[in-house]
Amino acid sequence: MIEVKNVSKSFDGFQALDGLTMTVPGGAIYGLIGPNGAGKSTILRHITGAYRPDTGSILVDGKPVYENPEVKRRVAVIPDDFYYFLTASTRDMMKLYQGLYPSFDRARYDSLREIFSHVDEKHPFRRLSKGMQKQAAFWLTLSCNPDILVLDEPVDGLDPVMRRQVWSLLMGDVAERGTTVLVSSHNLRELEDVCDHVGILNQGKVLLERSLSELQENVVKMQVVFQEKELPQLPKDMEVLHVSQVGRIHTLIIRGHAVDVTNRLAVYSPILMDAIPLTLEEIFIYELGGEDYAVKDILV
Amino acid sequence: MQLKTSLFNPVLFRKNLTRFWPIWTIYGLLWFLMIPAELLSRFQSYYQDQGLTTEETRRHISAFILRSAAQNGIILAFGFGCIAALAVFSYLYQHRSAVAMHSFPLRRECLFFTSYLSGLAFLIFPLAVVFLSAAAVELAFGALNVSTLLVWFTAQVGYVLFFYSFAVFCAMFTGNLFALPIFYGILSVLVPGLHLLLDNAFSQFIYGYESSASRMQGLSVLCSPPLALLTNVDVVERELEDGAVLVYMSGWNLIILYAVVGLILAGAALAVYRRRQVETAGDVVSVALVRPVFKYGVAVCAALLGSTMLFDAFFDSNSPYSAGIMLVLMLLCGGVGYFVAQMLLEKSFRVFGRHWPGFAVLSAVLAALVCAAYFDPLQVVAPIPAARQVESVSILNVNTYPDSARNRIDIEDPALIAGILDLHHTVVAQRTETQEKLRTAGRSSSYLTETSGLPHVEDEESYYFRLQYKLANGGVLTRGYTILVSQAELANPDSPAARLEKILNDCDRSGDFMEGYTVEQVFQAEVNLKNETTGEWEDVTLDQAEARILCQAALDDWKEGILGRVWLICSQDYQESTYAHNIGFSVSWRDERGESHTTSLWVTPLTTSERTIAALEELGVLNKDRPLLTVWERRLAGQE
Repeated sequence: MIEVKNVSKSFDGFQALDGLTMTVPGGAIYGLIGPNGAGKSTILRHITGAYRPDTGSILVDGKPVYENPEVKRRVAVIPDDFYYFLTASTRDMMKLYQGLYPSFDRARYDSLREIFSHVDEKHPFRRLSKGMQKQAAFWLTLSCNPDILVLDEPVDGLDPVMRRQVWSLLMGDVAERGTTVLVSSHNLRELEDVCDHVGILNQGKVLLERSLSELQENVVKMQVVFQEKELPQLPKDMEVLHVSQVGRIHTLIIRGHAVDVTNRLAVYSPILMDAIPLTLEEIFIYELGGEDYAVKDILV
Repeated sequence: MQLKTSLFNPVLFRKNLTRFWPIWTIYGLLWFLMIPAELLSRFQSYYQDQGLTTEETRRHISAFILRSAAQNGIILAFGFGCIAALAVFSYLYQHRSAVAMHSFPLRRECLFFTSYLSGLAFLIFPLAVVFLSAAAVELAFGALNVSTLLVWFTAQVGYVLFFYSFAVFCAMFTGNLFALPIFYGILSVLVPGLHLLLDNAFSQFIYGYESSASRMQGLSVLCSPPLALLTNVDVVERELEDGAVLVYMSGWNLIILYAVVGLILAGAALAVYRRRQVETAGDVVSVALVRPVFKYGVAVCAALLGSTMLFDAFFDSNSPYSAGIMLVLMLLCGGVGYFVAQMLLEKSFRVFGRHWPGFAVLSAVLAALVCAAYFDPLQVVAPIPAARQVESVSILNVNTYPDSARNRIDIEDPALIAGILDLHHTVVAQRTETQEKLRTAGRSSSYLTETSGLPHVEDEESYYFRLQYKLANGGVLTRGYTILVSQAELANPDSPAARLEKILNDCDRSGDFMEGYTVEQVFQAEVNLKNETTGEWEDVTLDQAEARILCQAALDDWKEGILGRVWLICSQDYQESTYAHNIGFSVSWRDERGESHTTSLWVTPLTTSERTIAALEELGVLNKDRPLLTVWERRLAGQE
């Protein structure tokens, strides 16, 4: 389990993390989402032990990460921009990782060659395409058999087939070895398929943190046709995140369980009413809309 | 592979050696060419051709190898020390690599020591290989000289330990690849450089101030490791009583001192590294506490350097407004340096809005510095020494009429030293009036030329001279002043010009034109005269006997105070009193090896030097066809 407790970090006066607290359950696939500049990459770097927080703590199974090789050897990371030595090939980097991570499995590295067959392991890393570099990064990192895998925009640059392959490998590790995966991505549609926990960041803080199922159960999209064309006065305690209208069809995004919301709207005797679950992308958009980060209608 | 929590990672170490192989290869190759290859060449040709004995060969080898250690080794260690540090810690200068390396399961101490030892290995392993290669070459030719090779190796290790550790220390304070060699280079010469900048700046507006070879300068060189080593480490060859020659290297104390300092700097670098933030990769200065030091340091250096250069180019240091001008230039250049440094720190051009208070502080400090130096209430910057502090004085840039072969006069006589100190106090006390006179006089120094054709009399000219005091504490203090020399000034016995002229004449009284040689060493004399009948110039040469007669006559005139008079300006009195001919005496002397040398001594006869003139007439040098002409007469003759 990864525990981030009240972590703050500033860079030259800019507050990147502001008392951020989050918990990643062991064996979970935790999706970290947020707008640009929310602090996602920053917190990931804290979790991998690269950054030192100004305040707060980051613990893995109760032990601090920073300057703790015992914990760090259980954590492997694939950043958005993978680092390699200038003249190194995948094979060269494999030898380095083999020397740094005691859990590195050479047999697994050899077996993964089949999956990442398009990557020439003797070819210099810098001459591989972006997608190939990402594949090589996965090859190396998965061979380390980490207990915790931290991924920052992991499938960016991968073709659809390789994406599916990689997710399949990850989920296989989670299922077989109980690997904890912490992934940050803007591809919410893909995250929705793999994550079981989600944390939404904004302005250096965790806005909300929940299992995906709870998150989806807690917000509902209602499409309603009322008796009158205009929207009736809704109860003040009903937390409406979004309202739009096309013709006589009102679309309401309301926080609450679908059944509860349906029952409450029923008092208005709508002509038509339908409850639709939101996608993660819609949850993200409407939650942040409440944080003054709404989609703006721009006429160009 | 089991990973222990240790201070060293062999995988990373090997990786560094393979990644950066060009560095240790080139370093080793350079040394290989300088020593084993050169030895081989010498053994094959030079030593055999010279027919040297084994002992002589060993001595030559010793001197050759130690000279490489003394000079080349310092330069190579200075350069490659920085390159090695730059390579092994290059991961700190890019965000991507810094984050990745610090995400690995390694403590910072492990990362630091592995990288530090990698760089050290780049430099020491090649030295070991060169050592063995040189020993093999010597052994092959039966002239093995292990002790000298060990001296060379030990000296190199000492240099490397210091320069590499110093570069690593500098590397901890920056996150920018290009900044490291710049910081390293500047810090290597910072103290003498600052001393020089201050000296140059002060000399622009502090009356009489000149750079001095003082104790401070010696100390400042010691604070510059490359300069200190280059000036203090040397090869000495000493002949022993039994005729053998001992060759050894001097300056070991300094080498050992710097090696120890290097180890201390390595420890300090680790301390900084442990606190360093990874996110400072790419920053010019990575340690927050050092940023103000960098900013104000750049500003002050820019103020001193820029103001000096601009003042030199556009203004006159004799101006009464020189201090004000220097202050304005310092503020201008200091401001440029300040904001440029801030731009580098923030990596942005938009720095003018928030940092004016800092610039105000800088301006106040510069103004205080200029005022303190200019007014110098405690006599710190431009003191006039007390008589008891002075061992000797030299008057430099001496320019008199008639021309003197020497442009410096060294004085040890206490009475004369007291006179010079009086002159010095007078010059300083009359500074304002002197500067005003020089400004209103509006004339620079000018010299009569033989080709001018017209009798030209100097009524007044500016005259620059320098006083160099050798102090009892070993220090040297130099001051330079420009005074006005005119007929009116010379007529006033309390004026600086009159005092200086008196001192110059009194100095000559204390010695003579023979410069320590005796009449018995004179073997020839020569006088250049114009034959009025033929119109041709003739060199009249006197043999030894005649030359000695003439020399003795001149000495007699000198002792009477007749010969040797000097003037500060080409006045009419000078021109009418001085003959336009020089008498040259050739003297011979032997050095300590018994080799013979000759020197020429010159004296200019005056119209009052009766004994000299009489001797010239008696010896037949002068006659009605070959008269002596005064400067004035000669110039008049040129008019016709």
